[in-house]
Amino acid sequence: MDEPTHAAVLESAKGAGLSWGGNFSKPDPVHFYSDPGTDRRELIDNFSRAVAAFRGQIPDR
Amino acid sequence: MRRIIAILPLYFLPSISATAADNLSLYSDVCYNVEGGDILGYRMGIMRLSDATYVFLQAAEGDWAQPLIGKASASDLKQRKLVFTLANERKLLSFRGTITEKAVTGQFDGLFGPHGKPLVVRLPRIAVSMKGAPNCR
Repeated sequence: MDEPTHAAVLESAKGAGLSWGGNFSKPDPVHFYSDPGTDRRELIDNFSRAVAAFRGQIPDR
Repeated sequence: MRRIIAILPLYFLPSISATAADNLSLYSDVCYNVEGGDILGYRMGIMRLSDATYVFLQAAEGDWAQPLIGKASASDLKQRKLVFTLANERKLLSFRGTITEKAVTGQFDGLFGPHGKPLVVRLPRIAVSMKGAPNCR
């Protein structure tokens, strides 16, 4: 993706209310997200635990 | 005699296990990004089988992607070079680098890093039995 296209994608995402993972301390440029306005890390952690628990119920995982 | 026959498998078991471990080596820079809840990076496996040495490459882009598998040149490996080409449904990608006991380093043609430049990686060797991924720093 060239620089102008990249800038246009970021501008469009921002206009749609999305934040960009390229600004993470470990940049993740393909990551866009809607900030819930609360402790996002806690929500992610809770979700990850729920997924891990769910996978634990599936044989061979 | 029966006792000797019964003991023989126990004698050979450790060497068989060690050989099996050496036939598969894993290299990975995959880490867990706490800000995004994603795993990020690449892992590469080198499998030394009887007919050839195979390489698998697996990207972590949020979750594990499907691995790609190809062959590595045995003569290159003897010189600590790692060169291979893999194909997915859309394109070819190739890798050229070096391999040691501690890490694989090199550059991809067909995968891109920051600013659209060819992706350069350094994948430290990890234990085959390692579970999960460390947090990204």
